Amino acid sequence: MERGSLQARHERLAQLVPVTMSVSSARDRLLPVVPALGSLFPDAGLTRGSIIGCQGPAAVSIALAAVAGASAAGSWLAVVGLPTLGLCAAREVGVALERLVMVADTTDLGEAVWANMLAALIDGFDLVLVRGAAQLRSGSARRLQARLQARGGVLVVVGDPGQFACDLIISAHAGRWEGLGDGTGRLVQRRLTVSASGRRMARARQAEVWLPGPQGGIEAASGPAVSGPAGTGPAGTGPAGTAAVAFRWTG
Amino acid sequence: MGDHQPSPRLTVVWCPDWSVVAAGASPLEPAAVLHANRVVARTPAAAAAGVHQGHRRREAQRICPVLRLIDHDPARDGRAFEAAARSVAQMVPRLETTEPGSLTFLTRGPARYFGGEHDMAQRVARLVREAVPGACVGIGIGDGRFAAGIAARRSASQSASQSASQSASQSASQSAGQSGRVPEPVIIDPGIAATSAYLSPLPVSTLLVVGGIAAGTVDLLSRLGLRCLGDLAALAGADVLARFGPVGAFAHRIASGGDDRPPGTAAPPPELFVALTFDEPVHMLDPLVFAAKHLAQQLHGLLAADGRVCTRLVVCAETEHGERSEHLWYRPNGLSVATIIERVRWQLDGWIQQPGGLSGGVVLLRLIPDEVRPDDGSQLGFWGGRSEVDEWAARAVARVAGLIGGQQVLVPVWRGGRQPGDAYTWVSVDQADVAEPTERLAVTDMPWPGQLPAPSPATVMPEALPAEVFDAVGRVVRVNGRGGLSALPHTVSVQGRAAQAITAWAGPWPLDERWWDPHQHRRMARFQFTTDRGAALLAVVEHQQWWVTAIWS
Repeated sequence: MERGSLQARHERLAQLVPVTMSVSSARDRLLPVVPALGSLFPDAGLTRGSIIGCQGPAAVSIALAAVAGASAAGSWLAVVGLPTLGLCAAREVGVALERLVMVADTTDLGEAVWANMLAALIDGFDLVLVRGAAQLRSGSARRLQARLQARGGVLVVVGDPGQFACDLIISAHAGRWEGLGDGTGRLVQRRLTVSASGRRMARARQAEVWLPGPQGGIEAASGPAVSGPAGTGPAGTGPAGTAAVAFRWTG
Repeated sequence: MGDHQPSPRLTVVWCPDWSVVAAGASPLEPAAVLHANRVVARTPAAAAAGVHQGHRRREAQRICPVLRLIDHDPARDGRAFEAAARSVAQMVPRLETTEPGSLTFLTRGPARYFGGEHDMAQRVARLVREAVPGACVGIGIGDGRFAAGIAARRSASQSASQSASQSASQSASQSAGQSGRVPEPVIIDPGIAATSAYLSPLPVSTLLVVGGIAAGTVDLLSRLGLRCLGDLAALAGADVLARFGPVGAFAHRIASGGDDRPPGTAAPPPELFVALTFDEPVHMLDPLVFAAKHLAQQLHGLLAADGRVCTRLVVCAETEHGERSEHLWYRPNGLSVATIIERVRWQLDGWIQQPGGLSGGVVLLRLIPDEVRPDDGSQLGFWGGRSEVDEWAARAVARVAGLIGGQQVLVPVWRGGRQPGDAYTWVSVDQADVAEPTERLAVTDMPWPGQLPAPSPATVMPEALPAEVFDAVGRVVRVNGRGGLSALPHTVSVQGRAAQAITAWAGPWPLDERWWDPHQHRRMARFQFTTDRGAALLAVVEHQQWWVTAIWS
């Protein structure tokens, strides 16, 4: 057997160690996150028992990207109050759809039932992604937070966190899209500046990411932001060669 | 290996193409039930036109363009078959169901009571006929499941061809009324020699259809020149075992009329059962099925601890007034947790919804294994098996479903499609197995031409939002049938809100779906917009109306 391949296998094995450990052991206090977002989190992972708030116009994408690493590594994800979730986007960013459960319509549940349902989800799921947390009363929120810490899950709140005290708030401002021109091209990727601030951080941290990247995933963006009008996409990113058949408008 | 033991004498009642009967299709109407794009059942009219099991959807529609397609729904089949099972249970005590459409019971007792095998079989056939009027029924008696199953199929095909010849001689309307005639049972004489002689000229493909042997093995047998069961039976058992392993030995045994029970099958100790009593009578199906889920896991755990699996199971439910539903379910490969739950649902759904209904709520649910054998099936676990995390999540799902209703808790199913919302759909956890996603998320690798490439939008509107797109002077932008725009898009207003300036755009990408179907035909043009607020939208124009269907949020 070649040495190079042996070394490559050792590397792969080393990558598997944190992945397999986080599945089996609840004592391990960290769940993995995708490398592109690692610099935003203390210890470069999701701390079990913590609440993460996602805000800004790209909140849904960021929330999906934040849970993608742990979901791919074997954690279950429950989604509450997001009936509009795009499953293709979730899969592209790395969420394991086989471990995804959605609670569909939560609009006409009372506050008490809503809190009980969330408590049941926190008991069973490592990751709970929720929107509409503002309706919770402070007592329920405190109770849920204590339960989350005891059970060791991670709650990701999209939008207004209401009475939840977030350990970390990730926000992104409107990003800049590339690939779309004036009647030409297609959406290819979006450059986002993501910033995180929280109780355990002395100052806000920032990361530049492509979210979504060209394949829908999340990638770290290196180099300074390219200035210029949106739509000056990379050459050759038109729909030619893509599955969609384009009729170029010739007016 | 010792000599072949005689099998118990069994009666099989077989309703071919049960799924179309359950779906309520008339025998005179060409209709077919499809599962995974293949025909699984069709009406006699469709069969006469040349549509057969295993045909693809397109093939079936090519052969018979007026064919009505019905979705496969095992729960509907099970529910509808419950009536037939209930009526036969009046005269036969221990009745077992393998799948909806097939009943099996021991012949000896009922045959002695009702005046011989032939009279008893006709009486059973009459009962089934009355319970399910539209169905074609076959009834066969033989030694062992395999022989009796073949006899029942032959009886069904004879009665089908008789009614076909009748309808040829009489007018169609009369034959619909006449189709209630009782089928002639097919009886194979007892004894290994007689069974073997009966089976000998049949093609080896019956091993696949009736015996449940894997298609690859059966195909290999016929390619090796073993065309009929007699050829296979003529070989020495040891040689077949050496060449084909346990599967081949089993095929050889049933082909030569031997016992078709897997070796090692035994009745479990009588104290082995799981039960749940409800303090509060339960009137609804869903809580019962969830309770059954718990019981099934418990039972499976008990048996799995000894390395055994249940092949025949009694499901028993009682109401507070003593009404009772007891059923025997058989599955040759062993009943897993999911299949047990499915069978409980079939049985209880039909029982609760029977004409007249129940007088009270259910207070007792009991699962009793009737036949167990060593589990030599697929070994799961180690890598890719269920972990503790999965168990926790499954429990949480059950609890949330109990709290807010199972219909509200959903898991994704892959369906495929060109629009962002079409590729996946949601089904409730009642209808899907949360922990075994392989089937529901099996993505076909075939491309969907016309699908927009990645990245996909993170927000997909279940109902598209009405929008307006204006040009630079404030007129609504129109798209003509050839994909030409009346003017360049300049601003977009979603749901009547303030207009946002369009900074970049692309399109139109036309989409013409289901043009052959007047009801589901959709013709639209798709656009991507980015606006000055940083939003990226997927907009479509359909019938000159703009909609926003998805947002890259």
